Amino acid sequence: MRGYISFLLVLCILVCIFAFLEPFPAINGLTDSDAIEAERTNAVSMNAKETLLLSTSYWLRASAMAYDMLPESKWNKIEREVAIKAGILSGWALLNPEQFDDDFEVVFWCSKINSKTKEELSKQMIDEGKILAPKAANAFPLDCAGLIDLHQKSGYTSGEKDKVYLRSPQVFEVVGASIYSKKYGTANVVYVPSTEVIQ
Amino acid sequence: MKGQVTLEELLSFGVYLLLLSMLIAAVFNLRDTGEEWSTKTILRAEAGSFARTYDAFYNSNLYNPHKNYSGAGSGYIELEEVAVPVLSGKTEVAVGEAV
Repeated sequence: MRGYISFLLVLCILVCIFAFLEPFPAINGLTDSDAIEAERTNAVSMNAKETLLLSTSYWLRASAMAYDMLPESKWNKIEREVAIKAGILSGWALLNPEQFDDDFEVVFWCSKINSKTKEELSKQMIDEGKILAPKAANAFPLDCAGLIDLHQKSGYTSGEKDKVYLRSPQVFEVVGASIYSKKYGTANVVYVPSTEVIQ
Repeated sequence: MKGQVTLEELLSFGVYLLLLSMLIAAVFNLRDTGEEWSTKTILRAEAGSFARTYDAFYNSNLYNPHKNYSGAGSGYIELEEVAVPVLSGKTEVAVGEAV
């Protein structure tokens, strides 16, 4: 009889334990991987955008500095502008989209966009499973020279700096990048705001 | 004397059965409580995971390909099957009534 009672007691305790352990497999199955993928996509997007900004800034200053090493008598504002723009374009040509992240593809472009471009192009990339530039995009960087809005400093002693806006004076055209990850199924579109001052 | 022994044994066995039935009832009651607790725990965990995913896409201004929930990041999100208010970073699961 005592053995029977002990058996029942152990059985009862086991039932209780299993009742309380039930949720743990389900909880362990939950992960935050979707959130982490989103954050990684955002990080690569910000890297791409910052790369554009830093490249433009560096080649603006480097090209201007190289031109300003000419004798003052040979300075010409138009030639200086051409030299700086050529420098910025050559800097963009050196960007390597494949080196951002192994899990992501990045492509730079310049294009007319509207308020829906970001969402629509992101959705299109995910639906089609490949990286895409906007339909109206021009070849990067050669056909993007028109978006380099250069404001040269007026004098060499005033402490002013050369400034660049990446924008088109007529239409809402910007320099940007598409980011897509086949592995994660995430996509994003970033661009340099037309009001961003690059020095 | 023999009859008295039998009566005592019967009484003893009756008390034993009573105690055993109480124990079994308590176990089933505990099991029900455990199931309810596990459901709430799983829902809380799911809600937290969904909220975190939603916030990650929303805060990063990314197109969200996951369509199993909608709503605002700071107010509440709605799962397909259960409403999950998210208040001050904590998730409260409501199945029928708020917990």
